[in-house]
Amino acid sequence: MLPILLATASVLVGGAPQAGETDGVDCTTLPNPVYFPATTLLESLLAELSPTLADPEVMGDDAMTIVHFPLSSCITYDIQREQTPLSGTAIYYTPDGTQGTCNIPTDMEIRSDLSAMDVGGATCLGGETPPDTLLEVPSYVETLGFVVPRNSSQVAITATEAYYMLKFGGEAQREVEPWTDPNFVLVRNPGSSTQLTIGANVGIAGTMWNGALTGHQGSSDVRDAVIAENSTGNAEKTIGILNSSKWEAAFDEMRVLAFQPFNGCIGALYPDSTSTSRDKRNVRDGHYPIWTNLRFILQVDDAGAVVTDNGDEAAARAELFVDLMTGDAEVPGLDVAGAVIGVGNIPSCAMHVGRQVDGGPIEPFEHPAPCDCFFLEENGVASGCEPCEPGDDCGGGECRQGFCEPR
Amino acid sequence: MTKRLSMLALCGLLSAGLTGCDDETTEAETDSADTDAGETAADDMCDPVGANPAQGNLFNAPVEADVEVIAKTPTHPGEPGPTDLP
Repeated sequence: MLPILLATASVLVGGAPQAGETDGVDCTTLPNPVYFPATTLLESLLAELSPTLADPEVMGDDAMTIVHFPLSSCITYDIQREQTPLSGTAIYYTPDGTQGTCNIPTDMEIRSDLSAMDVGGATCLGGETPPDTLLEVPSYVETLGFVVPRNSSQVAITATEAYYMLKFGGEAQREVEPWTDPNFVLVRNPGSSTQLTIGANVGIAGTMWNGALTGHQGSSDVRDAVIAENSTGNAEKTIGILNSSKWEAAFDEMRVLAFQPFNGCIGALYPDSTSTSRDKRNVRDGHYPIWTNLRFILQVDDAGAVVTDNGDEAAARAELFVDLMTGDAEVPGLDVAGAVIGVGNIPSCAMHVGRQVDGGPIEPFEHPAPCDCFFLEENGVASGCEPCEPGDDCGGGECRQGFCEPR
Repeated sequence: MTKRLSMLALCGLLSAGLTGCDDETTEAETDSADTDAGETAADDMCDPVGANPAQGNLFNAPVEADVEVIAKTPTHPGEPGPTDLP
């Protein structure tokens, strides 16, 4: 796995520096580093949260620098599982929000403290049971889908169309108009949670997609490639696979397609109730099935305590980071739930469906402490719920995150 | 070719030409103990998805009037899935 890590980490973060960017420092010199190979789908959320996590004025002695190696999900899983020494370049943020890149010194062996991915370990292991030394912590929901350049006229794709397009790659007699040229079908790679999840929903495993399709290492690469086709005259025949946090941030330049699943008889539906709304209604109620849960992967000892190769303090930071991300711990001034929603994701408390297996059947699910009102209001959608303070009477409901939830 | 629909009631009309909504599955839906009493005859044409009737019920549950539904004429060759795909 090491060669893959070296190559992809360098490629993924090797773009042109942005204004104020700090480049090429030694990762081990950063304050309280948390070494974190994780899915590229996390880039938007980490950009929101990492500066605050690094800020001693908010976090006190628990301030930490998230050192993110943006990679495909299953690659990050292998790195954490095998404890492969990290190398190459990572992304971090300073408390003022400046993004920088850092390098792992070539004469040091630094191993990951945790990893994160959008599929379960069993999926990455081809169905095998993950080792007992890894703790898999589920978190929020990330919506995935097919996207087209804003200048495309396409608005929908069916599961069967996607099956033909991804399995046959434009082969004669198997074409799906207008996506007949594999050079403009922009996918990821077989280790990508986006590809694996979409594959599971269209009947062709993400490891079996046609080799003629145009692969990309990261979700940002797909986003950029789709957007680039707005002005080339090829917008109509361009289609990509992406996550909601990426397409929502590029709303003026690309669109997600409505999707009609196998056996869905109503028609094709957007993740949101309409093409322009932002409520994820069809994801949350089970009409739109292309989504997955983020999972954090920690190492644990025989007693179940979190451990890392970087010592007890590093283990405590990794555990705190996961607790903060899942809502099991809170720090005033760090709004994780708001950030999760703000970048286009869904906290599990706003979901009404769940699934036991990656890409498996969706089933009804009721969270013990629902947050639908908060979720909608954070997205700028009127929930109709009464604002409240903790302890207020909500008429049989519960005051939660500032709103009277029905239960 | 696409057009937007705003009526769930068109499900039955659409189902004849869309994925997995054939006569066999209509029978399965009718036999399902999970079928809501309030469903219309048109809804009964929707497939409960074989061994996973709960998922079929979720996919084909009525949507609210403000939900944007796209009726797309598929452009793929052959029969719609999920069975009998090449």
